[in-house]
Amino acid sequence: MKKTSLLLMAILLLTIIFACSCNVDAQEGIFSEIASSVQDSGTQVKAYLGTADSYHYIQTDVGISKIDSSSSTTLIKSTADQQINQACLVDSNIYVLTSSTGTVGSNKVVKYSLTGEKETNEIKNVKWLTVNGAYYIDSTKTLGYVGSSTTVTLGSAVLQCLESEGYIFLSLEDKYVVYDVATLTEQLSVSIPSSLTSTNIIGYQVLTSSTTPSFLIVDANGYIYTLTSSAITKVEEIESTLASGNINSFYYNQDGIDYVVFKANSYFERLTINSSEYDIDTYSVTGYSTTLRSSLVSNIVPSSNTGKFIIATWKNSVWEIDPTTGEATDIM
Amino acid sequence: MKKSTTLILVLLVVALIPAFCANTYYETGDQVFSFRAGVDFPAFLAFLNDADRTQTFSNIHMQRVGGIASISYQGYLSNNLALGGELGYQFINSLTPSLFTSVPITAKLTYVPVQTGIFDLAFSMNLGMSFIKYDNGKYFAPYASLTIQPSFYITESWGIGIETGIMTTAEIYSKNASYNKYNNNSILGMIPLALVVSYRH
Repeated sequence: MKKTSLLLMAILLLTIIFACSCNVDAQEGIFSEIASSVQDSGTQVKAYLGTADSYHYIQTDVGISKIDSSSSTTLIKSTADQQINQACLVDSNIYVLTSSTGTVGSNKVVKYSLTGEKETNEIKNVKWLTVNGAYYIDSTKTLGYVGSSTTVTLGSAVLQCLESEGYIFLSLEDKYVVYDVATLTEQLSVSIPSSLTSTNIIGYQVLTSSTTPSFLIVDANGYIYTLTSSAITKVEEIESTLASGNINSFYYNQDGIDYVVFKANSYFERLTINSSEYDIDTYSVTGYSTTLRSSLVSNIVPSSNTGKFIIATWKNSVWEIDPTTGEATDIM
Repeated sequence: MKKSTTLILVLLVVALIPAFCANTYYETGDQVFSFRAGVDFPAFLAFLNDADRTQTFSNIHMQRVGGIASISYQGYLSNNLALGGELGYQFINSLTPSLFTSVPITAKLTYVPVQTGIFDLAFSMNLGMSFIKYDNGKYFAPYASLTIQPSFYITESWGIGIETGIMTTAEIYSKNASYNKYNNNSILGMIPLALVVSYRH
């Protein structure tokens, strides 16, 4: 009798175990996430800026550094008197947007050489500077490019700014506009529909498969829209939990099919665009999508190696990835 | 040094021999409360449907050591078999590092083949469920462990021992599960090394 009772208890317990074993919200499995976790690099990377003279240039929490696989040198330090907020690398010059703590109107873009020598050029009253070289002066509603003296007057304040490769997306009071940064030419302008606002766009990606680039935006709810001068059309929805802040992405074409890969909170989501068909799935195969799945991504930019991309992460180093093979190489 | 180590081992074995011959100490209905605290080491992370991703102690993407604590209560069903329950807490960081936590709630069956009144040697099997959490993920996982615990009773009621063994937590999904989770069916194995304080009456 005792043996029977013990056996029944064991069977009951096993039944409960398998019946109750349920996933609450771990999308791909907790142990799988742990298995793909990446070691803290010890450097907090705010942005990958670009490549010059065989070095990679990055903005970290302490300033601007140049790195290769065996060394890291801080060229420009961020201090209380000169806080480095944003930076870019254009035409073998480093431009940094600095400000002094507590000093209103101290924001300015300062130009440096690749060795960290300060040059005389300064652009004052700059509100923001993007990695692709665009800057904005709020007092005059002016958009500029650090690589030239040309500027564009926008007519109304910029409420949001996102960048993708050589293009910048601006959210004005009543319309969205896209500019080619290097030439400061307007690519499109479209009125903001009632379903969207001037401040709820968190993602933006340019697609360059044809001679005329096309654009996608993502709103704070995870909806993906195509953006043209005549319409904003909802095409898909990101399934995973969104990352806090803006969502980073990159675009590539393989075998005639366009792909846009978004970095959500814990997963990469890949949007497949085949003709006018849009389909999105969580993308998790061996390579960058598992290695960097849990990493907080700072920015994604095209690599100097054609067809590859650089993914800078806040704590888990900087990686060059090949989107077609999935291969990821730590470049720090 | 070698001689003294050998001597200690011989004395230990000699001291334990009577234990195997001794009469049983416990009676049906005796109860034991135990408090356990210590460290745990990641032993393996086995992917059942994707063996290439399996990681062992040498390459597992976890920190080298974590912590464990638990309380348990058991009652003797016979002279050397006790049944009860255990509530635990385990934690360890991943490489990132992000904290992995586990709260196992288990049934605990203990077999005590050696019991002198002063020294016990106990083998335990735990079976139950564990609430595990990592980053944004939560999961109610099957849990099982096998442990060995030698204990010395310094008074009639209070004893102190060391426990080690293997603790396993599983993540099991069906083939129809979303996000390709079926390929991520896995078992995490941890090796505990803990100090156990027991109270019996």
